[in-house]
Amino acid sequence: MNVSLPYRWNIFFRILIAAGGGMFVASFCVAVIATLFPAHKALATYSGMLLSFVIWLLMALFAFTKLPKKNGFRQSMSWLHTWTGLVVGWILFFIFVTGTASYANREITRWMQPERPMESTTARSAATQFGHAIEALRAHPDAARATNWTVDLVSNARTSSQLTARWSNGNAEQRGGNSPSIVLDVEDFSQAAPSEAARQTAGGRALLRMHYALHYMPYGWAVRIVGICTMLMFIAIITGVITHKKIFSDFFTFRPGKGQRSWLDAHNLISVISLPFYLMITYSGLLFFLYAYLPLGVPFAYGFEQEKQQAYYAELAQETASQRLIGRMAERTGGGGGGGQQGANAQRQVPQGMGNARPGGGAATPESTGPGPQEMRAPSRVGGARPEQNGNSDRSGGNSRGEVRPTGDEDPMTRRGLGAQSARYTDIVAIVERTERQWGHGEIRSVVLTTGRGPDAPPVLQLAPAWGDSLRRGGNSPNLQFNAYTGEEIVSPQRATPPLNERIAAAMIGLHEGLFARPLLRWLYLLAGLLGCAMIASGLVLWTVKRRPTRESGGFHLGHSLVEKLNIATVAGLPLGLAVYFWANRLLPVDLADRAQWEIHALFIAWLLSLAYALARPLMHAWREMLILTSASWFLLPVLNAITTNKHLLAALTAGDWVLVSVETVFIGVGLVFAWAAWKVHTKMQAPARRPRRKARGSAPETQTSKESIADDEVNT
Amino acid sequence: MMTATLDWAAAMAAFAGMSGLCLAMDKHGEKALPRAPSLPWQRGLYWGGWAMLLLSLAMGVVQWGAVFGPVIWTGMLSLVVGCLALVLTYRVRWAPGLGIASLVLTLILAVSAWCVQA
Repeated sequence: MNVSLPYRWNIFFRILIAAGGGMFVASFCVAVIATLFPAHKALATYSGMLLSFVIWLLMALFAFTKLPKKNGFRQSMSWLHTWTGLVVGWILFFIFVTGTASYANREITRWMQPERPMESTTARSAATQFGHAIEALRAHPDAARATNWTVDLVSNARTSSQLTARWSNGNAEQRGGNSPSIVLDVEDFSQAAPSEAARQTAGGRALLRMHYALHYMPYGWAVRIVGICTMLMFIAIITGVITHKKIFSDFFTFRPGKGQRSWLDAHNLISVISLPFYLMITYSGLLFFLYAYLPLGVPFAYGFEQEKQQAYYAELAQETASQRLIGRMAERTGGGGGGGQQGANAQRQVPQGMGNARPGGGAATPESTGPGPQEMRAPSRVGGARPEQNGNSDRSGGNSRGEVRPTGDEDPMTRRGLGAQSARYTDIVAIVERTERQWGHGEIRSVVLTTGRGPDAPPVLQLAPAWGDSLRRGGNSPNLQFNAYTGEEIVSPQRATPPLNERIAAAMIGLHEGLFARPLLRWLYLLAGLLGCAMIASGLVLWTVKRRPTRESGGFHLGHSLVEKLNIATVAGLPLGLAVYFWANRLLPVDLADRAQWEIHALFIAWLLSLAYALARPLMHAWREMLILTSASWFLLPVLNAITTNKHLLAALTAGDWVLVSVETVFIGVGLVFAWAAWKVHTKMQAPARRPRRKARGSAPETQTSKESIADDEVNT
Repeated sequence: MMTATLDWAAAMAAFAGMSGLCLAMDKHGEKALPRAPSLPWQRGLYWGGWAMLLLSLAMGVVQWGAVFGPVIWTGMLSLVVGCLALVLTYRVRWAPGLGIASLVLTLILAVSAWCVQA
């Protein structure tokens, strides 16, 4: 691997062209597109921004065509694929593992708070549930004075475990996750004793945050690092496709037990079968922080002054009729938005939101800045309190600013309370009944009642569906609203259909988050995410397998050895860390200060220790032992759970709590996968002598064809 | 009832379609079938495969709607192809039989879904 100096300079300049030149050209294209459509400059700029990553990508590919020592385009692309993949492979693996877990973030949080009751399903209609909850609220002296009642029903919605009636007065503190509540038994509607407080946990939400904001690192930095990795992954995916001549026939091809050939097959197969998912997830990942990733785009089109850029955002908000601009990082906003906060700070908020076992409460959709279907929103359009979700803080900083916060709460006239008004209500239970008939059983997620804004304004009843009906984030049809006195539907003004580019961007982001995914689709998302992890892992291993130093080449190479060790530490060590994260959740003392933080520390400590272990042990031994350890730590999670809590797998099965059953089944499944991998490594270690013999004995033509076909696929160095 | 059956019908149709496509290839057809299929057979498998995939997509759209249908279908396809790849790797001789079985199952499930709905 002797690399000459001119070659290094050559590559260095190409990287410079790809990165700097690519950004410059992409930004320039934004400006050109913007000037082409002066009438809709903001929209054109926006389209340019959405396209910019593709242009940047093309520039990068262009910069690496015709590499020295490579025959032609495809081999150059293959080189680019290899190295982009390797350079960011480990971070990408981290991003993919934590990101995949976040498709089950709320389910994970629920598992991590075993104090929360078993999730029940019920045949009770929404109207019955709502009727009893309203009675309870009416009877409660504090609730009767409140200006906002929220009833979370047991429904088909994700983690809707309890019938909960909450009340608040719309001040900021109470609008958080901590508003007082009554929990009703969904069968006999007796008031449940206040359940024991759920333990502090970083939960699934911390994993979700880590997958784009890493940890132990300033937010702005971390997000940009993840962005660079994402862009390189985008390049790796596209070059991978270009490199791959026989993409379609490799849909079905896997030849096991043939060393490098098998690794290549596995990598190809895994990559190809979920290709649409990878493309979607990578491209949409770039859109989340669009303006941070292409900082020159808007300045080129609008000018470098801050006011001019603000003018763009204002114009765009007007054109798209939305204050929630996609891709705008709320980095410098203090106050409400957690976006600008440093990791530790934002993390500390986590447990509060999750502390109360409110279905979909604090754990709700941290990525969704909008009124996702999961999140109940009081009618901000009509006024009144809007339940702020703690979980929103990450990215909503820039978004909540734009919204006009109704000031009706502070008006003393509205403080009469819903209880006093309730005498004048029409039969609101009948409205719920009617809506459920229309939407279907279990399809109402929650019902909110809010006092009107003015002294005589009627209270508003708002019904939220269990699931969204749009791919777009925030693109769902608005919740149904009714005048609680007359029962008339309040028809909110028809929202104008946003322009096409906005719809595409919102759909991409919606697809990335998958908030709309019902169980079947959620499983498929999880599968695709796991395949993504496997793709990265197999690619990393393939790199080393292909370059294992032979005896002729001296037998040792520092760089190669380092990659091998990092592979062990990441591919086996990170999943171990994740398992340890769950172990810590059960084993750390419940009253430990900063408990959530310590769970996260446990993850990284375990990861670090596995690196140390990988460095200390011989290669194959380290693989085998790490894989066994990882496998065992996942396998034993259900056992640990059974010992430390009363929500073990059998109990969950009997109670029909499918969320807990699923989580534990996945634990066992992951354990099985690693056990299988460990077994494979073990058998390979047991039979080292057989391979050369078989090679010698094996018919010459066969080895030749396999070599040929490898060369044929042109995945080479 | 109808919901579950059409789900499965779509999955089966996707499996049948993908089986057709892979058996139409020289590389896999030779190994899976008793004799290498002739050219007309290959063409038939190829176009039949595509037709089944389209049918599967159509059933997905009927089942899950025009918005979520294609999304779920895409995800389902990777699962189906993954299973088929495992069959071709470890039980290649089963591939034609499983293909036919999935074809038959598609018909049964689709018809029963139709009947339940009607």
